[in-house]
Amino acid sequence: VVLRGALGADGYLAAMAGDADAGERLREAVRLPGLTDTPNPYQAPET
Amino acid sequence: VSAVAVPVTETLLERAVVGVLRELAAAGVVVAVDDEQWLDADTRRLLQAAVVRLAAVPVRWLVSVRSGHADRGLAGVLGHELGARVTRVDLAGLGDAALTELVLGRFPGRWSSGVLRQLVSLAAGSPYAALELARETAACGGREGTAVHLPSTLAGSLRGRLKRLGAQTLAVVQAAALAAAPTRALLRAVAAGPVEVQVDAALEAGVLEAAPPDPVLRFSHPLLREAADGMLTGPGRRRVHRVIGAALDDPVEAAWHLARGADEPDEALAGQVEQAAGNAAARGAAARAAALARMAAELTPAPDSPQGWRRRVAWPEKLHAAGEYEQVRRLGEQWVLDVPVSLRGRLTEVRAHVEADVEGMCGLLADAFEDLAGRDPARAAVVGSELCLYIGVLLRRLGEGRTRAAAAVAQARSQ
Repeated sequence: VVLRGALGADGYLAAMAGDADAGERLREAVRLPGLTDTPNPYQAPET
Repeated sequence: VSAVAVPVTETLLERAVVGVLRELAAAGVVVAVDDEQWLDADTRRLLQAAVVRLAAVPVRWLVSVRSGHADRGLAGVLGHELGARVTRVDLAGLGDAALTELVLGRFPGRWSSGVLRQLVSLAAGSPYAALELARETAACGGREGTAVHLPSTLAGSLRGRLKRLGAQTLAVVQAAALAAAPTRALLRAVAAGPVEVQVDAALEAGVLEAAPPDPVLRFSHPLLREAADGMLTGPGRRRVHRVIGAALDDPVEAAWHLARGADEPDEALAGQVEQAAGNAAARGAAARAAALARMAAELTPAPDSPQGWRRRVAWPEKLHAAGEYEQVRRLGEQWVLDVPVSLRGRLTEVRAHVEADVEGMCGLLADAFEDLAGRDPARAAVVGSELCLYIGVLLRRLGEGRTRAAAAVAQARSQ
């Protein structure tokens, strides 16, 4: 959950900056297991 | 519910309440709260959050609140969120004639006009006060003015009513006043004598009420509960709390009573209360968790020991979850210079969360990240993730935000 949040924040800022690999960073966050355990799904990068 | 594996965070609880009310709204739902001023802090906060989240949903709210409380609490939030859609009805006190009629109707018989006038004047428009004063006056044989025994206040009247129960029944009622959910079983475990008889006496006197099969006994009015509690002396109240705490199975409730019953700091009890604070927080009872966290800190015999500081730092953390920001600021300022380095990051983090200025908040979060990095990588990653978004999005310093994000990811990967 912690890594997902950090990767999500990193990917979000990368997307804001227009980085080509921002999508891949966000997808890496999504692929992490345990999404259903994420306490606040609205903070997860995929929502 | 005992300690749960998955924490019921405040957000989850809020979403659950909002979700249920949203579902019910389609069929029509009214949330009615009588005497809002008596709500516990956790329930009030949840309902306030629901009002905010459901402002556009046709949930109807019916809230009664004591005069003087109408602009705060749930009523205040309703006024703020619903604006012109709120209909406020200010109830004036009953007039003298109506109060007189009420008293004569409920306590028929001969009343001297002087005693009645005095009683109505003391009640100051409150029908409850008038009835309680009349009950006490009648019970003491003072209706006709020859042996007038008119209590001078409502509180005095309630105390008189409770005293007339007799010492043993009063003791049972007082134990009920201190317990969150008094039942016959609990009272049997904590009080001496024929408890069943005493409970029946309190029910017949209208002090307690029962609604079987619900085993919980309730006071017929919260003021009676307050009066029963207020009639206990300090040592007496602590003794009852200890007995209740020893009789309860629920670890959170037991710890609460044992802490309230403590005569002096006690390391073992402080540890138990600290754990209960964690359990309460995991149930989403943020205000109760904050109160327990404070007790745990105050019960620690050596406040400057590592466990003493751990409990101190947990207190503002729990206060923050309960929305008590002013207290967090005060404790943060009080301890900022003395907190051990090992816990400084946690204290700085919670101080950041009550900092109103974004630059100031980011500065504190950056300090917290530095203190936590390596020492507590998971927490550092959470702080770093938050910090990078504030810097990148709110302060529009994207480059700095991305550097912070990379540092947060590194901490998250290192845990």
